[in-house]
Formats: sequence, structure tokens, C-alpha cells
Amino acid sequence: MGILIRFSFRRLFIAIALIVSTSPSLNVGSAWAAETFPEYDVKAALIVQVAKFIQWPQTSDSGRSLHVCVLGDDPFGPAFDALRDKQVGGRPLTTERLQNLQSARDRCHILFISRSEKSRLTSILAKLKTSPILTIADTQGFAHLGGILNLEIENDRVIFEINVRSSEIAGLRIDARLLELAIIVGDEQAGDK
Amino acid sequence: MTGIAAKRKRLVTVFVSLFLTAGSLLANPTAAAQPGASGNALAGLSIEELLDIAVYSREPLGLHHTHPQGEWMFGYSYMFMSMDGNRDGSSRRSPADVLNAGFAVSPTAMIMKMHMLELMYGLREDLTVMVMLPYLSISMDHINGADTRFKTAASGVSDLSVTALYNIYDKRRRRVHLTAGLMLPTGSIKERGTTPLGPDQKLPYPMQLGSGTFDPVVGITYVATETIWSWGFHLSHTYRLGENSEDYTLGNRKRFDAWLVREWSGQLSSTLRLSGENWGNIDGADPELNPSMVPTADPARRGGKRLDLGIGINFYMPEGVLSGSRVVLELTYPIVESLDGPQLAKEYDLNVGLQWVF
Repeated sequence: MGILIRFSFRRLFIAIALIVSTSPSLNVGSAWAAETFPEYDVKAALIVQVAKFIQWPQTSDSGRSLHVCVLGDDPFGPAFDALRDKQVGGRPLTTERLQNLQSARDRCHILFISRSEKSRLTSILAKLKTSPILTIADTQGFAHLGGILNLEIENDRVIFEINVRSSEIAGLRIDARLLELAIIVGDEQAGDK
Repeated sequence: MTGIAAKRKRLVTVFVSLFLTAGSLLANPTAAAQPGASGNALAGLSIEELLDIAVYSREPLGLHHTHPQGEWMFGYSYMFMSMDGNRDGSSRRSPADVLNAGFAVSPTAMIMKMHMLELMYGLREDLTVMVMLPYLSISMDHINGADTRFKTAASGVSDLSVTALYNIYDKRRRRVHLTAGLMLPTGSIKERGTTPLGPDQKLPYPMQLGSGTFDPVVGITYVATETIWSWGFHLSHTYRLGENSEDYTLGNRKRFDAWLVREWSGQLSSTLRLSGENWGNIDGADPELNPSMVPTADPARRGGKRLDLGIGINFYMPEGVLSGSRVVLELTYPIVESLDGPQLAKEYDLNVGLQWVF
């Protein structure tokens, strides 16, 4: 016990630092699986990946770019601007932060509706219902209210819900591979589960 | 300037510098979060891989949460606590007051440095185990009736703890988990040192490194997270079972923490924490200690309660050697303190922590 109590902490710390820096399984800088990331960086990356599984109707494909918008307070910060460098199916992404809904209906293929818009969510979704826009949020009950895709956090991981009926009304086709990863939900108004 | 005062000044300077740096980042959050800093690492990942990535937590230092099955978390933290002057109840007492109360010696200041190693592992999705190993260095300044000043010191491993965290609710950004742990008596309770009475003297209770008993700890934690805010509370109770080999039992300890976190960018968040603690007096007594010699040797002058206010900064490191880790800084001040004194009063504590998830 005496040896344990009086050992040199400095030596222990150096030993641990050496183990951490030399062990491949503990090399924190090398593998994504070894790291944690800010929530909205992960969500921004997910939006790009999700878009690869969505097919917009021909009429909404005005121009080559895929326009991603945020309505309300932007929770992504620089991660949202970084989307501009990405491509989905050969189409470059463009981004825009919006303060009103009208411009969203005219321009956006993907619309992230911020939680700052929670109080008027029902009215926003009603106005967008038949527009070919992939509506995304991370607000409790969003998909049940008629939003298409809702991002949630469970056990430190992002999960997502999809309202298939809403996507059909909007004229979007969602690949079955994406639906397999999602929690499928229905409208509250329609009495779906 | 005494050695303790010089060290204290140096540490405060370092900490204030770090806070100022963080302050400048707060004023310009984009400087802390370069576009795509972690996005570049995420860009090449498939949707399945993205869904398997842990988003980092923002809890203040020392508060834990469960991890997904198979996930490890390694943490190291350093705490520097300064105690300065004495208090009886909530009133300050000078060394002269302590000596006039009949004690031969009065403590004047204490520095405690703690290095803590933490290892957590997700056994199941709802069950995480955690092992914590603290290493303490304690030094205490004294003065006696002849105006002689002296210092005692002790250092070594403190009590190792093994804890299970069990998630009972985790939905919709609200999480509740229960904790049940056991602190093992790995810390020495036989520390000795040189005092004016001579060499090899048994050091008083606060200079000992452990409790000497098996101490169960139970607790409950609630965490809520919203876009830029998160908050939560934690309640815990430490029980002391039986009597240690030196014929005493430390008092039970109750603690609560309530905190609020504001995220300023993907890389930077600040924390505000209120912590309350209530701990009892010692039951029994070490026969080698004379309670009239110094208040720290009196088992009836060890209890107290305190309310601390802490402000902290969490940095997420997107790049470099510490990529993916979380660095936490916290400065804590007591706002209310009432002690069964005379007993040394807390001045502040500084905490620095580093956490990796892998």
C-alpha cells in the first residue's frame, strides 16, 4: 500500500500519455470513430447525405444547384456555410438564411426550420404542404405535425423521423434505403401512429 | 510573498488568461469555429457512419452521463483549491481568535491539488461503469502561540471509486440517470509529518488522503438539452460505512449541482453552476490526535455546508493532437459558507479537465 500511495504521479501521467499517443486503438486524432463532434456539424453533414436519397419532381429542378435554406435563427453557424462546398448527385449545394417563408417557397429545395419558429410551425407547414421542399427540423413533434424529416438526439447519437405521407404530398420520392434507417411517423391530424 | 501565495497568484494569472482568450472567442465566435473545421472530417462519411457518431456533451466538469454500449471515455482533470483563513459558522475568525479560543496552533491556509483520472465504459446502452482514481497533494500553513509559522504536507493516491450509471430515461433531449458507486479505502489515513512537536507526528484529519472506510455513493442526474442551451441538476449522497482503522468515521456528505450551459459556437460553450454541499462531523476520534492542539484535529469541528458558484468554459478541439476531445475550465467561488469551526474557509477552486471519447 505504501508503494501505491507514494508513487510518482508525474511518472504515471507520462506513462498514460505515451500509451495514448502510441496505441493505434487510442489514437484520438486518427479515426472518426474515436471522436465526438458538435451536434450541428453532424446534423449539417447528415442533411447532405439525406439529400442523396431524395428525388425532387422535375418541375422543381430549376437550375443545376440544390438550394439549402435555414428559416429562423441559424443553429449551424459555420457548418451551414461549409455546405456550399458540397455536391449531391453532381449538383452543387447553395445556401441561404431566410427570415420569411415566402422566399423559401420560391427558391429552396431543402428547408431547415429552426426551433425559433416553433410557435408558428403549424402555419408554416400548412403553407408548404404541397411545395416540393424537403422540410427538416429538430423540434419535438415536427414530423407528426406534417414536417418531412425530424432530427433528434438519443443516447448522444442523431436519429431521425420521417413522415412518408408528407413527403408524398410534397411530391418528393424518398429512397427505401433512407426509410430503413428512419423512424417512420404519421400525421397527428390523420390519426396515424 | 509566501510560496503558497506565489503559486496561487501564478495559477490565477494562467486561468484569467485562459478566460480572456475564451472571452475574445465569445466576442467573435466564428474565430473559434472555422467553417468546416470538423465538417471536413465528417464530409466523407456515409449516413450510417454519421448516425453512429457521438455528439459531444456540454456538462460542467465532474458531472457525467451514460455512454452508448462499447464506447470508452477517458478523462483527466486537475483541481487547485485554495483555503484561506478560518470561519466559525459564517463569521471569519483570525488566527488570534483561534489561539485565544484555547488552541495551541491555528491553521492559516491550505492548498489542495488533485489530479483525477477517469475511465468510463458503456456496458449496455443504458448502463455505464466508471472508475475514478484521484491523486492528492495537500499543504497546510499554520501559526502557533509563539508566532512560529510552519507547514505540513501530504500527497498520494486518494480513494478509488467504482460507479455504475443507469439510464432510466433518454428521450426528446431529456435524460435521467441513477448512479450507485462505492469508494474504496485506497487513500492513506496514516499520513505523518514534522510539526513543532517533533518529527513523525500524525497529521490532522484534513491532511489525510482517504476516508479509511467503504463509502457507498448514490445519486440522480437530470440533463435537458436545447439548441444553444442545456441545463440539469445532480443530487448525490455519500455514506460512510463502519469505522476505519484509526477509530473514526468521516461525516456523510450530501451534494447538489444545478447548471446552465450556453453554446456560443460548435466549438465553444460556457457554463454557470451552483453547487451546494453539506457534510457532517467526524464520529469517533483518532487517539493519536489531540483535539485541543489545533481545530483540524477536533472531530467536532469538521462539518459544514457551502454554496458555490462556478463559471466555466468548454472548448471542443476539432483539429490537432487533441482532435475530438473536450477541454473544460472552471472557476468556483463560495457564495455562502457555514462551518462547524473554527475551520479553514474555502477561497476558490480552479479546475481544468480533458476528456476523450473513443
